[in-house]
Amino acid sequence: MNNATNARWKSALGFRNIGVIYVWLVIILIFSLWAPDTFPTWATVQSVLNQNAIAGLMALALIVPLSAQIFDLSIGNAMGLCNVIVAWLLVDQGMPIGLAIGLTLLAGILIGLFNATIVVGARIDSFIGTLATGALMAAVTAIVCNEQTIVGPALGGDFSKLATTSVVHGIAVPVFLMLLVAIVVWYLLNYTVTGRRIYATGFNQDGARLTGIRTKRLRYVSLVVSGTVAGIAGVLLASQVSSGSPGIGPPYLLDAFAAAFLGATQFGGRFNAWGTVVAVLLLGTGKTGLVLVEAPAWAPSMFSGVVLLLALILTNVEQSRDARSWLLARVRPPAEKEQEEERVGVKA
Amino acid sequence: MAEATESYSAKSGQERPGEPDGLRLRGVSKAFPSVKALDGVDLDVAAGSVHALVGHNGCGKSTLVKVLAGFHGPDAGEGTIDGQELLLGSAADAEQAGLRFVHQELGLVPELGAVDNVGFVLGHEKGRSGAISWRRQARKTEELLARFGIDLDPMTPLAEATPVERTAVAIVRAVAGWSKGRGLLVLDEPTAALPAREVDELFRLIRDVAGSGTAVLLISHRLDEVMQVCDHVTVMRSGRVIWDGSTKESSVRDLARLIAGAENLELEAVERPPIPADAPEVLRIENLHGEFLRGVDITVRRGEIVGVAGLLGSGREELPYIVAGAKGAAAGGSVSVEGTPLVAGSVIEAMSKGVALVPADRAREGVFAPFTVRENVTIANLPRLRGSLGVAPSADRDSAHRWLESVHADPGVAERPITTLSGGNQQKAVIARWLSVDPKVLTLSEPTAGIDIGARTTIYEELQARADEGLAVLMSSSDAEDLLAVCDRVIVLRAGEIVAEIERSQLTKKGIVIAMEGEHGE
Repeated sequence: MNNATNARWKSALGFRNIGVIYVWLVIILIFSLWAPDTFPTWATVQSVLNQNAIAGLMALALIVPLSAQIFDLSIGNAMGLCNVIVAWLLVDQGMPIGLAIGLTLLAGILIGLFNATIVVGARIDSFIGTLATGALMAAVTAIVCNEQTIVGPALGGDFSKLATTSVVHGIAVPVFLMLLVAIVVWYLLNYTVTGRRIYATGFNQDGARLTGIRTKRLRYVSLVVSGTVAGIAGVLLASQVSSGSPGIGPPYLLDAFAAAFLGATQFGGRFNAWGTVVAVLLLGTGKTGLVLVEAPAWAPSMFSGVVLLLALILTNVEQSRDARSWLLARVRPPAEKEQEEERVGVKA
Repeated sequence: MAEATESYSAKSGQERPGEPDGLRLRGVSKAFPSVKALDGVDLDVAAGSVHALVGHNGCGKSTLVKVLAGFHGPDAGEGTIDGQELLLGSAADAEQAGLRFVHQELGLVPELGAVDNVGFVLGHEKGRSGAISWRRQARKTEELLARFGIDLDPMTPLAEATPVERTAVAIVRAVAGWSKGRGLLVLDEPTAALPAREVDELFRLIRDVAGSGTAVLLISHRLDEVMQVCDHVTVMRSGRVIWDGSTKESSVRDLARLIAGAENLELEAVERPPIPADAPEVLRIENLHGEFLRGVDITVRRGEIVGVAGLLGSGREELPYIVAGAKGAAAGGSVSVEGTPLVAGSVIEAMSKGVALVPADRAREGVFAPFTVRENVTIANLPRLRGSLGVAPSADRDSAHRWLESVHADPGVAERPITTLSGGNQQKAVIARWLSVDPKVLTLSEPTAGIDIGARTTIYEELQARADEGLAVLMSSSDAEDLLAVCDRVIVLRAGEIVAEIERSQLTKKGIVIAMEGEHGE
């Protein structure tokens, strides 16, 4: 019994399960030694959290459709569109804040419904289908804002406080919203019938259908979830930077996917909420650290790419249980091999 | 022993005049973290012979095949092929030494014709410009197939070919490209997807291949086939070779006893008490039509196990699916459970009325691969495990343990990924899943495909125990042994119609086969 408990702890704390956390700690250590005056400070903690909360929301939004094996490649454009919509409603239409936010979230839901209609209703592969709907969203974004950044006093003041108000020690609202969404997604996927069925749909759609799971409905809803969260993220971003601008959304796409996949290598090896949050913070810590040590402008991209590739490769290598013996059969020098064979021969 | 020790120090690839032709393995061992999969295995497959490798799932035979294929490196052991040393654990060396593998899944692209499927392995014929010459490639493919007596349009997509033709294309392309030596052809469960009638055709091809001097290693669960086509047989259990000899010195019964271990042999079903005459009717199928079915009436009473036999295309495969709502487009007819008619084509409807389906294709339809065993067992029954705060982990776990125990599977495996289990244990988990929803009618298709005798026996016993408790069972199978072992009554389909209905007392394998084939009259 004691042994079994030990083994469980060992595997729970093993590199395979929570490797990202160890890598994160190593990154923190490296930057703390590299920039001892600026990095290990509360200001860094604040900036990592506040600047990555929206990216975290985006990544969490992806988890639900990804678990059902749907790629929502339009999520960056969806967020960008909602970003200019809320700015346009506030500045150009002079709407009150509550109404503008409400309508923008409605737009997010509609975006999700549109994606779902294309991918699930018209049965177009999500990879190419959301690429197409994303292009449409980019076009609508340009039309709404007339290809210019929307700025105005309506985006300052109360509206800007939404995303910048400190809740505790300079940590702002979006961070807590990200945690809230993470809790909701974690609970949904781990403790509800719907969550288990979403995973089942993603793992084996035929099997899920034969198990009486309404796979179409789940796939439909999963895209509405990602659209809605993209809407929330768009509003928060407008509040955080006090503007609505075309081109601000799409760069979030890659980071969100990177975090979702990096997170999926952790905590049991499927898409999951906490792995994703840790992945976002790891990537964010690295980027902030690189700014503090005055690394060149290409360094953050390089960092994200390297971390993601390493995580995926390590997971693959661990999964092929025999990688070690596979390697040995190839790299062992012939002399050593003969010796071993002799030993085996004698034993035989 | 002294001779053997000497030969171990020889260099890779060196000629060894004393070695016999064919495959020779000595002392092959392979341990995985949880299990010693191979423990000093010796195996000799003579050139020109067909050699069977049989044993339980998990006995080590798949690991041995993977070692031969170079997928696993062994911890110890060595091998020679046609007198040349073989570097075990190297795929390139296996390929170069003339080892060829045809796996159960065949590895063909069904959307493409034989031209491409052969071309991918042997190379396409090119014209002078370097572009593929389709005319020459088609002719080459045709000649190749003809050499093995297969008449098949090389351009037609293989999806339209029969299963045995597809298997033949896979075998031909494996053996046709041999550049040197006589090599070894390994066939892993080649007959698993074949209807009985086409198996003979495949065996003729296998004998042809062996006749050309190639050593053939056949992995199979079907012992009657092993006796029919093989010269020699090796039985493995727990990673060791426990018997090795000529098929002439053995019988299906002996082999079954060796495979199962002495304790587990009662393949003949326990005498089942007759179903009481007043047992109420649970499932009623009336005038059912489908893609193949042409008006079928079947009733299954409480506690009765009804088997469905038939050749490929007789409607045998689709019957359980239509009953369970998993296949729509029933052009007519009705299915009712305890007098309530089911709306056709809805799994959810069928489940709500108490019909469950254990599907035929375990990998594609039955198992959720990255899920744990627990998640696989409880997925169909989750709504009933739901508390006020969603699915309670304890309820989930307890349910999985309970149902795993009910099919005599070890509940200790509940948290392992289901793919780490043998085929037999995976199937038990799928059956546990469907027993957990407490069905009134359990339909099954090919319930024992590709699983070992031990797991089969457990499944038979479990079905009988459930039937004794009142479950109505409708089981379709291409394996007459399944039907003989458990069914109270067997319905034989031919061309979508019922041609015979055989009571348990009259049930024989021969009777079923004759009724399926139909030519010999009834």
